[in-house]
Amino acid sequence: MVYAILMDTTKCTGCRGCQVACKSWYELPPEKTSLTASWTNPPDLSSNTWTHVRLVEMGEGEGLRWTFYRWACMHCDDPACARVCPTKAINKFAEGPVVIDQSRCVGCRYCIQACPFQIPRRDPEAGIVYKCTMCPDRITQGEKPNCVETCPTGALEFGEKDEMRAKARERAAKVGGYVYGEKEVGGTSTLIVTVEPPEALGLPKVPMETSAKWVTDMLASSLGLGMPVALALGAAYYLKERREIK
Amino acid sequence: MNPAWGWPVAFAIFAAGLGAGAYLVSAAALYLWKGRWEKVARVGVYLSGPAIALAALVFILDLGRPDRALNVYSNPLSVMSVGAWLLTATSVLAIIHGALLWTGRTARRLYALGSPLAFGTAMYTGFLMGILLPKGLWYTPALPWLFLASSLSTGLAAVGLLGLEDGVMKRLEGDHALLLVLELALVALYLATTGFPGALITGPLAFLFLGGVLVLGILVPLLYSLYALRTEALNRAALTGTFALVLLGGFLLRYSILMGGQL
Repeated sequence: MVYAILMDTTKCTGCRGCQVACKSWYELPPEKTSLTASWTNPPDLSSNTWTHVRLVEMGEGEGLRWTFYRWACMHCDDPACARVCPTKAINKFAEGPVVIDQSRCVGCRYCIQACPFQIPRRDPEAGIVYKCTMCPDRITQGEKPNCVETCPTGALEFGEKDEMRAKARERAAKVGGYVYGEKEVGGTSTLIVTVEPPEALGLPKVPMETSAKWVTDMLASSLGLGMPVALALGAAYYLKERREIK
Repeated sequence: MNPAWGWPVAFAIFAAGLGAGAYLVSAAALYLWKGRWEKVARVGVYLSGPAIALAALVFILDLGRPDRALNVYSNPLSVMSVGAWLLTATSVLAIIHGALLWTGRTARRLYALGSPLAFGTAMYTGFLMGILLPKGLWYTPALPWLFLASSLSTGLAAVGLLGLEDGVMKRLEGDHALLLVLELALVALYLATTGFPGALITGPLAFLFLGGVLVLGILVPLLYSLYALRTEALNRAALTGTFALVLLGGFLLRYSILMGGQL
């Protein structure tokens, strides 16, 4: 069974329960932060903060609008991070989670470079990389991920992917909004329902193709370039030799 | 966010390319350039093994957990794993090749094995970065070929810097010019095919890229070589100076592209 997390931004009150639940389940240390003009705190994900709630404000005065949303790993169907990982430390579970095995990770940061959503973070002390796991230890026991379990408003839901997709579409149609994560990078196990366009929330603009496609396309076109490059070099060499012989 | 890969990675990519380029220059000296430069062939092989091994060492030390470095051989679908195998195989082979040359054997047949490995070593870093669509500046089919061209020019420059007889140095000028023309063409192709050339041309890296890579690293050495080709005499100091500039340009090329993709 493939699962997905549904994040309905129209129901999120920004209580940060999911953020704390994640810290609590994985016993992640607190983060030193400072007071800023933004409500979002900590301001970004880190090796110790695998999920956080973001507030985005748009417009001014009477037109002021805002959206809260939980931000964490999207758990791609075809994860670029796992594809490029040289150690096979990153694996996609059949149930949906994309998980880093910290006992194998060497801290090369290739996954950080490859992730279209800028999720994985390196711990400067441990030298290795961390991110949201989608709680495989919980979901294989029939439980929800801890962030979903904690959500008091129903903004976060967890369930069978097809069912979550149907729900997300229905909700987006009702509020006249969008579903982010359904088609992005060929599909993910996170569906974000938003009234505002995804760009307005700062959700990364990513290709709709899977990483398999964009990687193999580039390998193929690079190798295809080889022929003209070799011909050009050969011709230049020939001309130069001829000139030297003269 | 700090760039995930910093200058040590740029240096390792540069050193691996230089070593692989020196090996290929050595093969070219023996086969294409009609054996008249046995010295070039020797120096190229002597240089390549240690340069590639140094690159591998820097890559390992740059890992968050160097003690687990052996894990990187695990995923044949990952360009980084393939690269780890290439660095290992090429450096070991080049060192064995060097040892054989040292003991007086020619070991010509080893080039048949070493040259494809050296091509792989010079180019895999271009694939490593080039396949990453989220990094717009890197995502172009030209990157592996640009790195190959730079590997050849820095390989030749490094061999030349170690000093050879006057006659050989004089002959190197032409090959030097040829490789720089190739590199210039690939820089142009690279800039034309990348989605975000602005990062290198107008952004904070423009000074390094335009001044360091294009002018100092390619145009000045190229113009000097073209000028020198018209004269009979060898100006050793000037030629050596342009070789040093090519090495500087080769490093800055890797550095500016590596950083530019992570802005």
